[in-house]
Amino acid sequence: MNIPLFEQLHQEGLISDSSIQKVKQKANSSLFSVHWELKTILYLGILLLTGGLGILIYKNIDTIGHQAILAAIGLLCAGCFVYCERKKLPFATTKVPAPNSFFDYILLLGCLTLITFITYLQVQYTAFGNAYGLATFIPMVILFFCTYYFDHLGILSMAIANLGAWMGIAITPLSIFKASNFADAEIIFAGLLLGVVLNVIAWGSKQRNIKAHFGFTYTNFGMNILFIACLAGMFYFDNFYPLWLLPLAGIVFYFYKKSLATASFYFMLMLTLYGYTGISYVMIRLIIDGVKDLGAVYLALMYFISSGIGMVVFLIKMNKKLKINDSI
Amino acid sequence: MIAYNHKSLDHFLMNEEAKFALHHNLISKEEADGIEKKYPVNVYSPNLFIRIGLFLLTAVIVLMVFGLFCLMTLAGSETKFGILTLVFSLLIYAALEYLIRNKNHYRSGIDDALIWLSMGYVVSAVNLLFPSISFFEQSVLIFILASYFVLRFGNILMGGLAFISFLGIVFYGLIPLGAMAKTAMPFLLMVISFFVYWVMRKHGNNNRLRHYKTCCTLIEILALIILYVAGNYFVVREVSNSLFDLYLKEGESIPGGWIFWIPTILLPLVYIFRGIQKRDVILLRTGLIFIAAIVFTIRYYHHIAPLEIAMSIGGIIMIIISYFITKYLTPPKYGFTHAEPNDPKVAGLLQLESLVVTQTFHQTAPAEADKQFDFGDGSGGGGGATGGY
Repeated sequence: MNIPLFEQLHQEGLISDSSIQKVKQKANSSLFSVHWELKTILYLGILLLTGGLGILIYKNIDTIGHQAILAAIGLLCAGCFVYCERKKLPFATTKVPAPNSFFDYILLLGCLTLITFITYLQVQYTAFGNAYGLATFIPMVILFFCTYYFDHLGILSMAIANLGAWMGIAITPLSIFKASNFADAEIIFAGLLLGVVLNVIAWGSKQRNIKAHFGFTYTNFGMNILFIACLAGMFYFDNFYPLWLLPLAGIVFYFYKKSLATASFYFMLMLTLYGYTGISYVMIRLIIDGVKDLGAVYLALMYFISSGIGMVVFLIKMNKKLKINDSI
Repeated sequence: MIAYNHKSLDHFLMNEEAKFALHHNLISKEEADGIEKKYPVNVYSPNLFIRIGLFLLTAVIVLMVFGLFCLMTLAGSETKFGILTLVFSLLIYAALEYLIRNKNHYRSGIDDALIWLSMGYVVSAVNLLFPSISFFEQSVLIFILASYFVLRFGNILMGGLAFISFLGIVFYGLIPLGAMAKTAMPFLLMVISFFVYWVMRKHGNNNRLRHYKTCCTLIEILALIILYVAGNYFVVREVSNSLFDLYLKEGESIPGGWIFWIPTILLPLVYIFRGIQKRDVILLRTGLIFIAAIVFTIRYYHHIAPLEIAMSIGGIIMIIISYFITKYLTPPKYGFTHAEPNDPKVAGLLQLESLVVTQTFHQTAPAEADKQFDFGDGSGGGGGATGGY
C-alpha cells in the first residue's frame, strides 16, 4: 500500500476525505496474518504423522495384530467424524464455510481413515468377496456424500479422483501427465465419458444452484480429462487420426463459449493449448506422410511459424474480449 | 535506463494500487474510475494465463524461425554457426525494443520470451565461438548480460540470475587461488549475501527504484537463502569433500567443521525471531523452511531415531504447535492473527490447495494399503489406474 501515492491522489481531488481516512486506517491496522504458514505446518504435520504411522504399522503388523489395528483405525475415524458433525455449520445448498481451519483437516483425516478401514476390511477379510468394483465404489460414494454434507473442496477432488479410479482411469494431476495408462482404447472412451459426466455435473450444479462453487473443480477435471482423452484417441488410432479433430473441435468450441460466459482466462489458455496441440499433430503427420524429404522439414517449420503467429493474434484478441469482466 | 516508458509504468502501478483499494472497499468505484481516467493505462499487459500462452507461443515461433535460418544457411563450422546465432540474437533484441517502444508491451509474455531468448542465444553464440570457455568466464558473461537485462527491463528472474552469477564470479574466481581461499569461501559467501540482503532491505523501498521493487524482493529472498546455505554444515562438508578431494568417510569431518553447526542451527531461529519482531514475512517464511534443513542436516549425520518414529513424533509436534498457536492468536495478539488475509491474489490458493491435497493423499491411501497387506496381485498405487484392483 503506497500511502504517499494515495495522499497525492487525495490532493488532486480524485479521492474523497473519507476514502483517504479508510486507506490510512487499513495501512496502520493491517494485522500480520500467519494463516497460510500455520495451515502449511498443519498439513505437513498430518502428512508426516500418517506416513510415520503407516510405516510403523507395516513394520510391526505381526506383533500388533489385525484386529487391534482395525479397531484403532475405526476409533480414529469415528472420532474425527464425531468432531466434524458437532462443529459443522448447518447444511445449505450454498457455500458453507468451515468453522475453523482444523475442521478441514480433521475431516480429511476422517475420510482417509475411513477409506483405509474399508480397504483393510476388503483385503484382510475379503468383506466384498470378488466384487472388486464394489470395493472402489463404496468409498467413492462415501466421499461424495461427505463432500456435499460438509462442504469441503479437497474431499471433492479426492471423490472425483476415486470416480476416475472406479472407471479405471488415474486422474490425479501428476499421473495425468504421465498418460501412459491411456494406451488402451477402452480407457480412452471411458475418459471421454468421464469428462462429459463431470461437465454435466458442473452445469447441473450451476443450474440448480447446488453447491455452485464446486463448479470450477468439476469443470477443471472434466475439461482436462476430456481433452487428454481426445488427444490420446488421436495419437492411438493411427488409421483415423484426422477424424478425432471433429470431437476435439466440438470440445474446444464448448469451452470457448464457456470461457466467454465466465470470463475465464484459464479456460481460454487451456483450450488454445490443447486445440493447438491437436491441430499441429494432424498437420505434422500429414506433412511427414505427404512430403518425403527435406521439404517436409521446411514445410513443418513454416507451419509452426505461421500457425504460431496466428495463435498469438488469437490470444491477444481473446485477452481484449475477456478483459471486460475479469476472473480466473 | 529502463526501456519501458516511465510514465506508462507509473500509471500502471497507480491503477494496480487503485484496484487493490477498490477490492477492499477503501475507495468507491467512481473514485477508481476517476483515477483511471486521469492516469490512463496505455501499456499492453495481459492476464497471467494469456501471458503464459503468449510466452510459450513466442518461444515456439522464434525457435522455428531459427531452425529455418539454420536450414537455409546450412552453416558448417562452429564459428559460422556461432556468428549466425549472434546475429539472430541481435535481431530478437531489436524486435524486443521495437515491441516495447512502439506497441507498449509490458510483461506481456512476448517481451518476457524475447528477453530470455535473446539472452540464451547470446550465451550460446559465445560458447560456440569460444568453445573452451571456463566457468569463471561464463559467470562473468552471464553476470554482465543479466545485469544489463535487469536494469533495462526490470525482469525479476534476470535479477535473480545476476545475483547468482555474481556469486559464481566470486566462487570460480577465488577457488584457483589455493587452499586458503577454499577454506574462507563459505564465510566470504555469507558475508557477501548478508551485505546484498542489507542493501536490498535499505534501498528496496526507495521511490527512485520503484520499477525494480519485485526484483529487489527476489534478490532479498535469494540472499537470505544463500546466506544460510553457504554456512550449512552439510553443504560445506560435501562441497569441500569434492573440491579438496578429501574422500571423507562416514563420521569423518573437515577440519574445524564443527564451527558450521552453529549457523546451521542458529540462523533459521534468528530468521524466525527477527521475522516476528520486524513483522517481515520473507524472514519468517525463509526461517520456517530452513527448520526443515536443520532437521535434515542433523539426521544425515547423526541417526537419532528410526525414520517412522521420527516422522510420527515430528508430525505430532507440528500438529500440536499449529493448534496451540492458532488458539493463542484467536483474539489477535501483538498484531498477529491466524485468520485468513483478505487478499484477492490469494483466492486461487484454495483451489490449488485442494489439488495438492488430492495428489498427496490420493496416492497415500491405496499405496499404504499396498505396503500394509503385502498385496500379491493388483497395483493399487497411482490411484488405482489399472482395471484390475
